[in-house]
Amino acid sequence: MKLTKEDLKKSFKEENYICGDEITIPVYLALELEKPILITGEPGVGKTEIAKVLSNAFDTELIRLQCYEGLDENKALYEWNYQKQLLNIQLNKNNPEEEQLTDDIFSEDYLLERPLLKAIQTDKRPVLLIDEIDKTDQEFEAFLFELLSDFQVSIPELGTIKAKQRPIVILTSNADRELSDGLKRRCIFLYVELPSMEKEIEIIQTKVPSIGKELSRDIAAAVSYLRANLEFKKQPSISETLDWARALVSLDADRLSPELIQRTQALLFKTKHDLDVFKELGAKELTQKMRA
Amino acid sequence: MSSQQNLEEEIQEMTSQAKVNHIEHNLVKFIQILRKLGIRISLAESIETLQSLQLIDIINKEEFKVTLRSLLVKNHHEKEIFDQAFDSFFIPQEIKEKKQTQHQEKIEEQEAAKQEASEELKFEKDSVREDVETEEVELELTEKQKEIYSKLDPETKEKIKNYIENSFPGHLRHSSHTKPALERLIGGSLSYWQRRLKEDDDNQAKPPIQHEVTGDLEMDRVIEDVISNLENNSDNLAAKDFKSIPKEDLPQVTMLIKDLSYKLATKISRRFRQNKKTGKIDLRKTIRNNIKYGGNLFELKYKEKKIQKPKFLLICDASDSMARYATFILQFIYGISSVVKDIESFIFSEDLERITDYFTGTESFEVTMNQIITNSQQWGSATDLNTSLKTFKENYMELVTPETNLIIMSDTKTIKLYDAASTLKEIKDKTKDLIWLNTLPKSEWEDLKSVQVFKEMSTMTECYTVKHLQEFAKMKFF
Repeated sequence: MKLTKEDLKKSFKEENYICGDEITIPVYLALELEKPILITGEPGVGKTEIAKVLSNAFDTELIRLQCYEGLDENKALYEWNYQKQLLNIQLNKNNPEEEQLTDDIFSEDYLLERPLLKAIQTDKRPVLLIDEIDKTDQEFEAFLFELLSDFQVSIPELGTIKAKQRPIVILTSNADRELSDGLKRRCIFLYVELPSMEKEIEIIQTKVPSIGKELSRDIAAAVSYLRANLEFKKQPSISETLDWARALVSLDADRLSPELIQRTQALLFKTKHDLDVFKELGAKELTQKMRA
Repeated sequence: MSSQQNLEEEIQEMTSQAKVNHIEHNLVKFIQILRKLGIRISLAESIETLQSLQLIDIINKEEFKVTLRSLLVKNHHEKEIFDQAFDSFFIPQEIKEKKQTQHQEKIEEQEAAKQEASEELKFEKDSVREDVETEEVELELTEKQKEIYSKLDPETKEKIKNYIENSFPGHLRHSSHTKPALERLIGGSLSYWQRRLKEDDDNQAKPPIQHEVTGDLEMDRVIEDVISNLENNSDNLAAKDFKSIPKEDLPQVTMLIKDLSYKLATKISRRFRQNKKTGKIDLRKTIRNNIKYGGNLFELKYKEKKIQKPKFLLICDASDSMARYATFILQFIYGISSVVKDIESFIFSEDLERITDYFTGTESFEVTMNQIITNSQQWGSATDLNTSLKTFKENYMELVTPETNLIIMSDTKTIKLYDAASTLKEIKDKTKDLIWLNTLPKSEWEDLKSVQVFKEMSTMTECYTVKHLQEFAKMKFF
């Protein structure tokens, strides 16, 4: 299935993902050029969400590989079911046909399929989300970019497995560390910025439909002021804004007030440092500044 | 009619071909600009970018920009440079021409100023010809030296001119050595003024990106535009010289350095852990662990690689001009103290002082630095590296082991240069590696003898911005 630029924009809209050309064009290019897309940006700006939108747009499976320190091929690609193989050996202890036994235990029945192998073996072109690639080690990254260029895997006991379909690959990174040049060269780059105030109002109203117009404008103005004027360790991003909006709606708020801000500030700030920075400004001051 | 039609078709084809060629030409030029600004773009990427233009509406400027960005840029920092370069390069023809004319005028002004400098920097010599008594001889100075002269105030210029006129009176004017001697003297004096000018003008202290002039008027204009915009952009603190960061921005830089230290610390600790997974099977442990399964090797155990944490010995120049740099480097190094084996730190100016003990307390880095600045005899004095290294050799050599990475942070300027170099060589022989963090930009290294001397015996790297610290963090011993 092929999507035109307009189709893609429509799909994003239908999935309630508010964005402009700065996001849809790189995604469109990645689809057309069959290249992985590397999405970076502050945590909580909606990087992972793009993979979900695409999986819904193509009505296909989303296969997710969550990266972490120490992730290796065994957990990402495939692993032999060692215990099952051992049991088979024990059961056939007295069977003299050694070759047959070896063929048996190194067949696909004994293979534990991990996300990457699953992605290249699926019949319908899936969306493969490799989340937080910057959390893995450099060796794994090198292995990954080989896989991403050829879309085939060599399993010594079985031979080479080629991808039935080239998956739509999405890599996300929070820039915890610089990725290797090799990986970056193979990808289309997309940096997701924090939205403008107008766009944030639209996002809030789309994602929290029960919110009032004035409250959504207040929230967007407050968050926009905080981002532009205070030095936080972790800027409040879209996900925090939405959590805050939902909390305020559940408290039946129709406008932001200093008392409400104070009661719900924990949803916006994630470290003591950031909370202290905000306290220095004060909730009252914030309500005045955002309405100025 | 048919020939008319053919002609029209041909013209149309030629026009569209010219359009494609024009886009290709512009794109290639733009990619060259990006390369000059430090963005690495391969030939394959350039070709792919060109091909991808067929997929989009190139008349739509925003779409065109986003397409180029997603194919040519690879990180957030490059995105900033790209955006500046794009906005400066892809502009309407008339604005482009206007800007180019302004740039051309600026260059001509500079050339005229240099020409004037050549005229002024002449000395009178007794003529060998019989018809005239004296003749004027032009000094052979480099273009850079002439440029520096043209920037000096009239009073300083007058001093230099008087110096030329009065230096070699009488019979010395006949000597063939007079001209080269004067050129060396004036060259030395202008190098001094070059440094003074840079120290005086904080904003132009050191450019965020080192670049070369391409000779192409349009490319040079865009490159200069981007660099000056980056310099003026307050968000670009990571590329700003530590010395020229305004006081109000210091907390932000401190945060950047803390963040960098944190990232490096997690990278180091992660590297140690990953070896567990890739290690070999530990047969002894595996057998022992599987006795409970009747000897069947059910659960495998792997060998773990021994953790080798790097060991650092830091000697920081804390003389008057270097004190600001010392604060930032110390902060960076102590930020990774949890994952390195050992950090020994010293500051020096006229002599050496050990400051390791200040950092063993529980106070914050800021409080500790205040204590050092208040108590230290060396903070903010003049530089004598030789005496300092001798003190180190006499009193602290037991701290040096073959595992030690010796890091020196200084601009290399010191008295008794060769004595200092020979003392340092003796210390270096006992260490694993010597890394020199030089606070001078690379472009100035060639002119300084001291840099050449210390560069020979160390791995020297530029270090005057957060970005340089980021590069330093990528070095192999981390």
